[in-house]
Amino acid sequence: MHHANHFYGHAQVLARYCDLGELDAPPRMLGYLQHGWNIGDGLAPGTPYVEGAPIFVWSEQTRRRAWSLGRRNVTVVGAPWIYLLALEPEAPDAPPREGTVWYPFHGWEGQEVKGDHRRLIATIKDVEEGPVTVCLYWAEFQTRRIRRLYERAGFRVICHGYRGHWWRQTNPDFLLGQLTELRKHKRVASNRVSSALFYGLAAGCESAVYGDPMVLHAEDPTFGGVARIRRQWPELHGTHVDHAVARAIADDELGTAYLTSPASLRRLFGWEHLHTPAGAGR
Amino acid sequence: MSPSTTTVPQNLRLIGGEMLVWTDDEPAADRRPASGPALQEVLRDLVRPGGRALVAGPHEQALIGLLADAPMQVTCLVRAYPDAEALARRLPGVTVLCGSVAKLDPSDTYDLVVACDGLDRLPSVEGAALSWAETADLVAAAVRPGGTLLLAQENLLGVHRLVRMSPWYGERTDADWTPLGDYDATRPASPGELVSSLAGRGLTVAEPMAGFPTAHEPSVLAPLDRLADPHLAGFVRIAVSAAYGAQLAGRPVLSDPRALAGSALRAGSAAEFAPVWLVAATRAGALIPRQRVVVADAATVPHPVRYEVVRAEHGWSRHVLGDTALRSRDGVYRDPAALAGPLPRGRLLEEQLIELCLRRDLPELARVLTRYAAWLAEGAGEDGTVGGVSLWASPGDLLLDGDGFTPWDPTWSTTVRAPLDVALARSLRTFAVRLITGGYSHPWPMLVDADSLVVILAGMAGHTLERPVLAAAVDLEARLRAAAHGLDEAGRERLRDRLAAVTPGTPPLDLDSHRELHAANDRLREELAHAVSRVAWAEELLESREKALRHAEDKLDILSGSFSFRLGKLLIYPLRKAKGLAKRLLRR
Repeated sequence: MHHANHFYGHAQVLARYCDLGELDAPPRMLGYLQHGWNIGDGLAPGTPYVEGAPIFVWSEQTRRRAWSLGRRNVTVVGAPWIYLLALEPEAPDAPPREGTVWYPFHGWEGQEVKGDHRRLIATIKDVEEGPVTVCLYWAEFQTRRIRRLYERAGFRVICHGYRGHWWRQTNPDFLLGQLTELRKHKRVASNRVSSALFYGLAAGCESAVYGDPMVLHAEDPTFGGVARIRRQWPELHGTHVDHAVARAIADDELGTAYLTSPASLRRLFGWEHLHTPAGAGR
Repeated sequence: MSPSTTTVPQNLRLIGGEMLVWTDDEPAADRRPASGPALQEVLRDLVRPGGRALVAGPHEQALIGLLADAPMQVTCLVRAYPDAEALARRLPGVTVLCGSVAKLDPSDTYDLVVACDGLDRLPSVEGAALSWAETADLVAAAVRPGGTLLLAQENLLGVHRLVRMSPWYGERTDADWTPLGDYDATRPASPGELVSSLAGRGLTVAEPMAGFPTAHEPSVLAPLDRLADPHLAGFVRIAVSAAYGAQLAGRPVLSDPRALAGSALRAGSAAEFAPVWLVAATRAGALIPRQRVVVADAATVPHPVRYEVVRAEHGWSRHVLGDTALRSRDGVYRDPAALAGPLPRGRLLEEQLIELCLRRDLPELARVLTRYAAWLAEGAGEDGTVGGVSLWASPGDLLLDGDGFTPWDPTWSTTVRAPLDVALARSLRTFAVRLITGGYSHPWPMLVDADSLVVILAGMAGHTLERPVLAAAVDLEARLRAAAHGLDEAGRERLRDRLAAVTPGTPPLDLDSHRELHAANDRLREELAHAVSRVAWAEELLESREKALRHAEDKLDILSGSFSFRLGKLLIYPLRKAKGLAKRLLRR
């Protein structure tokens, strides 16, 4: 099983949904799970791929794209996020939502974001009316200089944690923490379309995409990058967008309609042997 | 083996050109006479009690007997002596002529000429080779004014030919001494050409019929013009598919004829791809036979039924023909009377599911499967078991009309009962087997067996199936199918084993279809390639993890050898001793 399946505690969320009980470690999965919103074939660029291994993607559109790129064993299961939402329905007496959670775009550790955080902060202040929570990527959060910039602007600065690497330091509650944060806010915004934006939409936030997209150094141009995303999903871009349209796009991209039953997922992931049917001496 | 005056039956006449060492009835060599209850039904409309009939070419005895019983004065013409002798002995009231059609007495004419085997087997190896047109001249001349010719013409582009292992121009059997096929320019290559070539011989055709699934035993006969009606055409498509499954079972074919025939009929190309065209051609003054669709199970079906589909006030209606007695075997029964009434509407559930799989429309697939599971549950008794038509019908038997399900052939049913989840698993499994062995592209290509696919499909329908249910589903399917096909205990066990072992590399279980076999081989290769690269990847990973482990062990060694570690151990030693001592004391 590829270590990326564990990123953000994805494997743990799915194991919980599949009713596998208490486990010492997240179970091995027969294949690759898409670990972030993706405009390619569902695998992160450069993922070493075992020929013929199953790929579990979030959306039907990604599956079609993957097929056109030569991938065959691709199955749509939807994002782990939709399983988390199924496990954690919003409390009916949840406190009223307030303000905006803002995700400045980041790359991963190997990439370096260029761009002007100050200019971005000014734009956010211009647009957002309520309180703003800025969620930084862990590398930026740990960079005091960047963190201070946002704090001084009067924003609440948070970080969802480390996604993990090579099965280590994975925060199994990464997504749960993110969901809790998102549900506190009325809006989710970012300078780029990203997983977090769709997560926010699915968690009931209105969305916005604006500000400097902070293009990465050496961004892989294979799939068209920021310009292509703008062309394909113009409806998501703007300080205030049509919520119904944005929500429908999020549902498509997260594969909300593809929520699979626990028994089916256990078959797909090769987890059947880990499951003890209810009443069978658990 | 030369016939002498003492051995030749009284009612058999040798007319010249006879083939003494030959037979046109040798199923092992794929030579069969024209046969089947569907042809009998068409012929039944054309009999003229008291009239004269000529049956030209090899025909099964039931067809000839039907004319003789009318009663008609029957003459048969066959070229092979053993065939002629057998006929003459079994039907003493019939005159049998043995020889070439060229030797037929031109002054002899008939009220009814039956050539359901076509014209190819009327000339003989002896004497001059005749073209299609020359043979047609002779046969047409035998129809007297006011008479009728019932002629079947094999279509060389027919589905049965397209899926044959060898092309007509490459046939090497004993029967193919001159395989001229469509290089005989006089041979009609379409129903239109057939009609006009008969018109040129003074014969009028009201409406040609298309016959499926084979030329020698069509079991679905439909008037071509009526197939423009989508309701009827949709139904004929299902009946044709079932007929191919029944008649070509186990026979080697290039590709699944059901898919090909389905596409042909969907495209409105029944005329172009039907294995046989059947025409009733009349000479001025003759009765025009009524137009109807005739469906009659092949002789190989253990409980055959036959029926016609005719225009009714609102749409189409089915009438049972022949025997209406209920027949049962090992808990599976067939009641022909259940057919009577309006032709059901809707699309085959199996087709709908296949389309949704091809589209990868999983949400809609889940909706349809949930609806199906609910329908099955509605049919369950108080004890939670399902029986009757609900249990018998799998997605290939059910029509989906709106949100309701109707079996397209309601004659089949069963007295067997099974728990709801077993019934659902068995039904979904028949579909899973079709999807896998038919080589259909579907949303879960990585699943290794039919059972896994059933678990997924059942999950979409809102049911969780456990392992024992899956095994029970295979037993149930083997039991029902064995009863329907008349298999013995050993045959049922074999079927059970084959059903249980369906994996992506399995070719179709019912047809020996080589294209699907090739596809199954490709799937096996993919599986193997995946297994090989998975092993390589696991090796690589193992190596890197071993390295990480060695690194950790080295670190541990260094730490345990350090001064601070030893000092710590020394300090802790008396404490550990004391702890052990305290434990022992407490235990006392």
